[in-house]
Amino acid sequence: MRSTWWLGLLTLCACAPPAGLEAKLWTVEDFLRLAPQRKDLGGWRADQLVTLEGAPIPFRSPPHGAVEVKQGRGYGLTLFPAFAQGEPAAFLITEIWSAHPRPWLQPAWLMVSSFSDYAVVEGTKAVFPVDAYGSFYSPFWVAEFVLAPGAAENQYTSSKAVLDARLPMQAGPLVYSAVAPADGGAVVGEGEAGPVHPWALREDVGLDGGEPMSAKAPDNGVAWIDGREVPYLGLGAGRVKGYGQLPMESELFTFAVGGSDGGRELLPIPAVLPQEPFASSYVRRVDVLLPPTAAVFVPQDRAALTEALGALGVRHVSAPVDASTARAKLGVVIRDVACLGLDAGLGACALLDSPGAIEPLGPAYVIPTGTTLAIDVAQAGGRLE
Amino acid sequence: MKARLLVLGVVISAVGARAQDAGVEEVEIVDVDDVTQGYTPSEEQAHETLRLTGYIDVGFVKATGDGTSYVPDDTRAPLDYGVDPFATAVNSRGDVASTSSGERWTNGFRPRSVGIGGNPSFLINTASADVRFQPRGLPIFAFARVQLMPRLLPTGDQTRIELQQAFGRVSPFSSQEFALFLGKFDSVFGIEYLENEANLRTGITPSLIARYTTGHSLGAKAFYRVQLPSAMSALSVNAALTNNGTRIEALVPPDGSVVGVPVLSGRAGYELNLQHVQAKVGVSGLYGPRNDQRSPGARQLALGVDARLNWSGLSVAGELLRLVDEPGPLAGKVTGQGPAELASGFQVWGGWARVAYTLPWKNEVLTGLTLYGRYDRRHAAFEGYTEVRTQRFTVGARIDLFELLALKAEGVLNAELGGAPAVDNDVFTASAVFTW
Repeated sequence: MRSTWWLGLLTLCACAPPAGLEAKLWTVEDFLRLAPQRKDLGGWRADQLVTLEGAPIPFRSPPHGAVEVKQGRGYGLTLFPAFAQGEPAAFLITEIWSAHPRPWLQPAWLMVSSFSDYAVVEGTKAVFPVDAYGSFYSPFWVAEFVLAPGAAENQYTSSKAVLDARLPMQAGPLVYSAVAPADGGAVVGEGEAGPVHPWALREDVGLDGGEPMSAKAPDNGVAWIDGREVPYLGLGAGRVKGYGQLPMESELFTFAVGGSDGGRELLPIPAVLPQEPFASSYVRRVDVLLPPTAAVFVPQDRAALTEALGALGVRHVSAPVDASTARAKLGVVIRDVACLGLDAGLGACALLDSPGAIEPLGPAYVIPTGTTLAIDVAQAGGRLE
Repeated sequence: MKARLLVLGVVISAVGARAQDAGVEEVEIVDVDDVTQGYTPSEEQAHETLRLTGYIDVGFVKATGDGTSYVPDDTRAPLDYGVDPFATAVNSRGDVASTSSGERWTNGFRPRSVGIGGNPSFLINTASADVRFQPRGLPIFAFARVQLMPRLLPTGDQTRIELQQAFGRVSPFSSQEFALFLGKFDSVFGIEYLENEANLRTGITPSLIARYTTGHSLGAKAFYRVQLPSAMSALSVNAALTNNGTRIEALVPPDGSVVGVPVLSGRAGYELNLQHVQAKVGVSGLYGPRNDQRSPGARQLALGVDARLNWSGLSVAGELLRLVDEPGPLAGKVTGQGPAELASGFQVWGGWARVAYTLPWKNEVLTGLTLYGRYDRRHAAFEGYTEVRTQRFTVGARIDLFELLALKAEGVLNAELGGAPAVDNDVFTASAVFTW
């Protein structure tokens, strides 16, 4: 809001701070702006959410990785380790809302040459109706196909231009496009072709035949907002479901320690993604406190993670498993460590690596928060996305 | 009764000014000759202590399109942020022909609606009753105004009852034009509130910025005016501390403080009263918390300037406004029509200019004939939303009969200059106002 002239006046008035939780929205641009201050954004530090060019990539560099892997060209959104139905996965975060009503779905108009193949008219760009700094922005848009076969490149650059034309329209799928500064995407190490799983690859050996698991990188696109060209990260269609003008909310389970006053600290171990991770990009952060019988599985060669958990007072255990399992299950929470018999591995254990395994813990341990996120699941199930 | 004159044109402006300056918002009783002189109650009035007055405003209106400013293919959310829902005003209250958005979401930026869509319809715009009490020889005055608005709503026929004003006034110094008010009273911002009532308004529909300046407020108010006879001038100050500021009740409820901190508003004016020319200028301001959300930290600020000139039947008036709202930090928004989700950051500038001419024809039946035209402009943006730029041309005529009946007809031509899609939302409206 361009109101600096009177905001200065407000400052002079020493207004009382508001009570209660403030409704906030942070976007990628905010992550970048607040990273130097290491500001907490809904439980994640801004400098953890985004990695600047040349900076060590979190989870792949020490203390978690053996060697430092630096971010290549541009900024990179951090890939956080996760489990999707028990399989290794990763996700990145593009928006964080705190104490905010569920965002509303806005249309994104796409000029197409026909309603049969929905081919976008060459040279045209999508038109978004709202900017990313307001409360009514979300990265989830309802694609509205506008029949404009002869559209010129710069003919439709604003919502007014589109709506004034009174052209035939057809509603399309929900698309996930995060308005974000250009020259960025998911974290990609220097010299690497694309993003890889954050930490199952300590020795650069993947789960599938020894090659690193790749993750699909977001597409960099440009759209129109009120006559201005605005860059965005294209994360695909069908990544969230909607009802009415709202996105469906799913749950992202994050393991945490701390009290019930909202001051919980997230543990540096994999989160657990919703059941349909690729179609559940709008999630609520749900904190999971570890039951007294639980412990985090950490192979013996992961000294840094062991130290980090120990400093937080979190119980952690190792188990005799093969190298592949050790990487695949790194950081998984074992519900009851009594399952770990001599040489039994993890086979007899109940692992908290899926929503179905976590939810029975009940409300004393599973605590929804006021934070919701837009996440892109970069890979799941150990397969290429 | 010599008094009870339905004033028009230049007279209306003068009466309005008097109402403002005296802090009495009801129809005052003046003679045309009194306009350039000080207000002198008639002998009959001077002996009245309890009086009942009022008016009935009967309308016949037709809006083009579907009566809203919404385009059928517009699926932006909230829908009311991307257009001007107030454009299709049909009466002096600012009620619009329709606010129906179908299944599409809105966020509390809506006027009240008469619910007729694009159909031509008769309406009882307002049935208004006033009661006032002023004991002889005492410096105390009490006033209340109750209004009834019958409407056909989706839920059926309903009549809304509104205690629009209810205040007491104390004038402690007989030698000074100084008065204190307590209760619910008119706005003190700008000049358009002087024409809130259909019988006082020259035309029919309010301006595009009336929603920000003409609301009624609950709280305390002080008025002071000093005459400068040697300069044929006067200076006045009108200041209020209220729950809600000066927005209309459909947007911000006045009847309780949501945040617990009052809003300060006021106007400082200068007037020049020559024999045949009257000129008035004023500056207004407003500062305080938004009363449509629950944090005292989110503030509103408004500044305005106004001017009026009356000369030989010609009346020229105008007003400019700049208003900024900080975003409410907490989720939730409180409006006079119910809750909404977010109190968004907002800023607007706008204004209007009106020229009216009262023809010099008058007899016992035809007591006035006034032609008028007004131009409105409004540029407004909610945080993150495209700025909506609109303009409006209003033309109309008013005939006064027997000093008791005003017949008015008006055309309202709206245009979307930017941000909002072009939409068929013009209005023809007519009104017959019977005053007692």
